[in-house]
Amino acid sequence: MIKVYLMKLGLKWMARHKLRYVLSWLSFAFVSIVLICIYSISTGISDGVLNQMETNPLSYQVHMKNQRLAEGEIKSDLTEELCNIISGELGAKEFRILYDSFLTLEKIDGNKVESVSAISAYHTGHSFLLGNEIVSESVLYKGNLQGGRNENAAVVTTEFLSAYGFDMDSILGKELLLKDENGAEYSFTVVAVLYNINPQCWLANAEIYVAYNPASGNNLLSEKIIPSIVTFDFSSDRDMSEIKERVTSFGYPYSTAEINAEKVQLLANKYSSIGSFLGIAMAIISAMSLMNSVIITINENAAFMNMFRLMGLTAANHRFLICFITAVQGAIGGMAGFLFSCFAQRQLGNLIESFNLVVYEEFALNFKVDIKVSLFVMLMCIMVSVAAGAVSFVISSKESTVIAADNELV
Amino acid sequence: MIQLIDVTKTYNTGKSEVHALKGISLEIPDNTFISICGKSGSGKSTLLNMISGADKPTGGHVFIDGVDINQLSDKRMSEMRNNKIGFVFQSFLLEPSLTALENVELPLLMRKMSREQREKIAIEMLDKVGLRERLRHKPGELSGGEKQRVSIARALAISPKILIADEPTGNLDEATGNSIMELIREHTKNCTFVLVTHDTALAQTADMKITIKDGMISRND
Repeated sequence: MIKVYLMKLGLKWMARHKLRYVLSWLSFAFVSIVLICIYSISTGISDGVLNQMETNPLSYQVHMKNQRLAEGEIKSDLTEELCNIISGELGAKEFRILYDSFLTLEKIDGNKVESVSAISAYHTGHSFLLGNEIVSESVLYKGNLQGGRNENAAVVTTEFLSAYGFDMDSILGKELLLKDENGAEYSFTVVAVLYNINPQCWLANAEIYVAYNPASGNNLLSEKIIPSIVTFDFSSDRDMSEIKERVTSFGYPYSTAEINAEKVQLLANKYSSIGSFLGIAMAIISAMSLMNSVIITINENAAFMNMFRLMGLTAANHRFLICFITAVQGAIGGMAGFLFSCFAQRQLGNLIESFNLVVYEEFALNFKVDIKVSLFVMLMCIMVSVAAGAVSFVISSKESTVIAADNELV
Repeated sequence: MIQLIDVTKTYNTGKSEVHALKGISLEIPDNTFISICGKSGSGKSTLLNMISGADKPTGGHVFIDGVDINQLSDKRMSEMRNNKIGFVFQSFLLEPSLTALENVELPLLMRKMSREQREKIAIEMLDKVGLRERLRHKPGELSGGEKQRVSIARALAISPKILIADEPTGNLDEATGNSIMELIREHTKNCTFVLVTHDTALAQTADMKITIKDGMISRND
């Protein structure tokens, strides 16, 4: 009963000094916003990574389980047969190879085209990539095309269009005929146009490409090629040190993918660490600000509180009153931070997108305030506030003794 | 009975030590009216703190009804104050956000009484001090004399065995002060009344008269 009464009294005091306390809970709201956003983004990225792993096991944008092992440089003896053996030994789900072989573009839609000898080709187990030979700068750049050998579908670049006199609409559906060094023919149908593939060697090192289909206006392909010759994909957790050792035993150097889920999560953890540090620093500052307000309130009401003590209020109840006041400040701040964060979540998503963190864009767009994180942050704000209240109580108790020495208080 | 044995109190203010009480020994029998006089800074209020258990002495013992109050836990001490001691102060010490009735109810709240019981006693006490019509008024809406009456009603609400009053008429004009003193005396016939005052004439009306100087009893009549 007394505690309920003290809570009412605390609320009355807060109402009486509301302007003083607005700053306190606002500072806690600010702490909450920062922490909620940082942790929600980190959680969002981590969830996104996990989601990728579950729904798209072959994704090499972000996937820890599909670790890639790559040869450092092209080796002529790295045949498909050998890769099959290595893949079997390693227990990889599948592998892809970039061969150093040559094709020439012979015809487009049945019509003979020029400059075909300038095109060198690399193909993989499942896809096909054509581009200019940029090693020799004297060769006229004609753009690139990429195709799937199995699907017989090709994607071409905008440069390719202009080099062969096509526009976006007219190239779609066109038949491309290519020949390899042995005279074997490969036929492809152009299904999409790619931007930002220029030049081809840059393409080989690039991370993400955006395919554009002028007919539908949708992105068709989000593709990345890493500078690897053979890529092994694993669909389950593996002891990577053992695999690396095994690859080394085959006489090939290895490297891991430049961007994978592990690195994304590492980055998310760094965000969390920075956010935690900032949050803790801000929480301490907020706590000090709150302590300042509370100590003023305690001192302003010291005479009455001493009277209350004389009437039988225990020190524990007195401390409860002070801690209740500060806890309410923390709770209001935490709740306000949560509401502000919810209100601003779309804007925050856009803001993150504007950071141009391409790989994380899809997660940023999905950013939303995490309820569990918000509850945790609110709890943290309340705990920090209560601690501030307890410290304020101790400081004020010491001060009141000194004041008593001057006979100003009972 | 209140008994003080060689009570000393020293405050450490950081820069220096203040010896507020220097070995006070005193016995106050039950139902006695005792006045404590002395100049500002002489140690009157500190002595009052010792008697009420509001503060603990640096040395010596304070007994109330044979119990050494220094040995009591904070909870037991609070209970004892709530059950036995009423307080009236010069500056009234009323909570401004509460009505007169709610202020008087405060010490009863600690006794875990029901709301109805508290209200009944508080109204009765306010009636006794002549504030039956001012129950719902907040301190800001009352005159100085009325505020002091509220504070007296609050002190009497617990039917104290000891009533401690520190300059209860200090903030009031003479006529109001006299009426307040009459009111207090009227309701403290069956309890020990400890009065701290500068007013020597008022002090002379007490059964026991003590003068404090430099933390020591300089005169005890």
